[in-house]
Amino acid sequence: MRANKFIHFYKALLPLGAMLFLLSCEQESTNTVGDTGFDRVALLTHYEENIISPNVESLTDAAEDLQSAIAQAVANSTDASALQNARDAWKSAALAYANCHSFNFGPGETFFGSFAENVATFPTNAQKTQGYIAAGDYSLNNFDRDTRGLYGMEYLLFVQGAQDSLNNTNYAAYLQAIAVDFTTRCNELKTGWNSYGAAFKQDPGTGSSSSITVMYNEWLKGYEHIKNFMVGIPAGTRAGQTGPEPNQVAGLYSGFSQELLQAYLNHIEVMYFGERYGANMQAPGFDDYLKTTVGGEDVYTQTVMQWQKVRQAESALPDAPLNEAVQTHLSDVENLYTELSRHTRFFKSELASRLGLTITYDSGDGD
Amino acid sequence: MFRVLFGLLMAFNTIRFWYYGWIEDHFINPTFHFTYFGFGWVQPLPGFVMYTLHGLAFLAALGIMLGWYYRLSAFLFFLLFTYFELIDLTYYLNHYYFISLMSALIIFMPLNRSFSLDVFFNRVAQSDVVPRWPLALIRGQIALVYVYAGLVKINTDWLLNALPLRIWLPANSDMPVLGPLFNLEITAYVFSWAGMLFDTFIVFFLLFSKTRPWAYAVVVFFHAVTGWLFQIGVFPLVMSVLVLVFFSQEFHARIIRFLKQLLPKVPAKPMQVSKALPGMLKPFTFGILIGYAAFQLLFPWRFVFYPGNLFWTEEAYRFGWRVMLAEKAGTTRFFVKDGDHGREGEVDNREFLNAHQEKQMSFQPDMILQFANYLEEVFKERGMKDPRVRCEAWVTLNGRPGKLLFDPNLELNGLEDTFAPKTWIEPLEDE
Repeated sequence: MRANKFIHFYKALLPLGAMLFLLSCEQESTNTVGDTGFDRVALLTHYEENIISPNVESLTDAAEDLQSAIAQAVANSTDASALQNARDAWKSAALAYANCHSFNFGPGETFFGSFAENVATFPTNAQKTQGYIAAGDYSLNNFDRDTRGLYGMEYLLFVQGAQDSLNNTNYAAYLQAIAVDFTTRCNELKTGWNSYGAAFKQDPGTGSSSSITVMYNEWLKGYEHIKNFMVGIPAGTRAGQTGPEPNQVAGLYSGFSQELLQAYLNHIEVMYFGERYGANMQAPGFDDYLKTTVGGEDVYTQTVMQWQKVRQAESALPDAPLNEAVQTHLSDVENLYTELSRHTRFFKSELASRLGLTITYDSGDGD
Repeated sequence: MFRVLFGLLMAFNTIRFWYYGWIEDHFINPTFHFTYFGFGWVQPLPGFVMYTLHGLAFLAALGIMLGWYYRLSAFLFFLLFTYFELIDLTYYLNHYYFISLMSALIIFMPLNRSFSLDVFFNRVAQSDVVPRWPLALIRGQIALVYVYAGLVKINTDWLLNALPLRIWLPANSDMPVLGPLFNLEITAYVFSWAGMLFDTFIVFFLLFSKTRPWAYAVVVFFHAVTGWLFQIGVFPLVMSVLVLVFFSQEFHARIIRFLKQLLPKVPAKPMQVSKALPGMLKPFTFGILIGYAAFQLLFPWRFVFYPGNLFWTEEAYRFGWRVMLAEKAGTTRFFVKDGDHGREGEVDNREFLNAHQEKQMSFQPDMILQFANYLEEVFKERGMKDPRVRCEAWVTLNGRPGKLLFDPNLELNGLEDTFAPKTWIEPLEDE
């Protein structure tokens, strides 16, 4: 009888031990992929090898080119062509950055803010920037991210009187300091991906810290950033705004705001389809993943239809910088905002819910 | 044993909460909190106080575990835990409700009569016999959770369409061994039916000594699998441990004897050993217990008074042990304009809500209403004379195409949240 009870005792504790073991293994990941389901590892591999790594690499190259072009412009401060070269290099770097603007996870997420916050905050605070220049403070030991980065350089390179200002030692030193800071951060991202990339593409999970979820979350944030800050605020669509605020566009000083908007949106498109939307469509992307899920085909069709409306609304903008378009063709910009806003649910709830991604870290309800 | 394990798990849960930075994220950072109906007065306190209170909750949980000033510890833990939960509706989880109930129940139970510091320090008399009623109450509460969680699974989506498991399982196809099976539709059906049968009937197998060890093995396996598959925190561990209460007193005594052998030998103190505690209750206590049981049995059924699909309207959804039942998500766009003819603008929800708050609000009508009323206040403070708030809420339920939850032109800040059915919610057409 007694022995029997002991057996019962251990029978009862064994599964508990097994469970503790299972829970302790929870963090380990494997690369098993189902036979009939969607191959998440293939998607991640494609994104890492063909989108993220090459884009980050190009951005780093462009940043280095920009840094040396700025050094040349400073060294030849009266040479208009040197400044023009630096401006061209800035445009290339800005477009290269647009191809990376959603990479704020993994190495793109640091204790001191995301990659985007650190290198591409806009609009630039001209007054503060001039304050640091006047004080000869180019240590960048502050949290005023709107005084540096890509758009800080844009301001200093394109603002009226930039050519003359290059003769000012403080101005030149500040410009060079933020150029170096930008290159350093791009290099850090590249180096980070060199080591993170392998783990990233081998993680097939869908939990809150899985590769696919963190990439999805930042991509969605990138999309909402474009909608709210690149289009919405300049067009004055935000609740409480009393009218358009054209000076809030990204790319105000260079006049490239519309090209930038287009490039930022192209990146969102590439990150959804795994490539630009078009005829071939062979690369695995979120679209293909969606199509394998319950009700996914219909949602995919609706998503593409709405996305085309977004791109049409964007093409309907006049051929002018966005800040000018806001002033001359406000309804067109408002229309773009409306289409972007209508599209949000297709990237947000309709997609994440079907893919089964756990998008926040908090516990869910237990069973 | 129950007391020790419950205290241990609660202490672990409090540390876990702290470790993940949730004190900061849930209570300190947000500018707005969704409140429970009738509990709008429960507000978070300044950051350092919230940290102190969590520290206190940890100590109280240890107090429960060690049986040290047991009643005070249990009361304090119940009070603090329930306070944390009442601050923000966003974080409502059935298993947190369950913990609140459990910690309330144990205040009234003499669980410190054995293997406790209260006995060791002669604060209470030892008794190795557990009276029947506390045991019955704890077992009853656990039984209710399982059975109700099973009964609510008896619905078309769950059983006939294997939803939401057909969505959730393929997302876990990376799980070792079972993973590849999750891409097969049949697996979702098997899991759906097994889940329903398990929840509904497991308690009956736990009640009989012959089936108990096997039933317990199933309990642990089931919770291990769900714990692995879904992000459901400590709940699987809590249930696996608390279900041990169905085992006999001899079983628990054996574990205690085993644990005592591990403890350093202390000089034996003369202990006052009381007889078995009286099994009979005073009529007043008995009345309260009956009232509690009736509430627990009946409150989850209040949904019968509300028209429409419960999963869609979510009226009477909470406090009903409806766990992991639906895959639901929404996108809400809020618009504010000043008066009839004012300029209308869209709200950036993230200006006021964290990601989890926004996510939870997006498909729950009462939370949408609360946020709309909050926006009215905010925009009044910002100088609008007559803010009108409307919301376009697209919701997808169990893979259905997204659908508007209600008319997007409806002025929300004119509406009040009450127990009455929300007739402004559009019905889910397919049922």
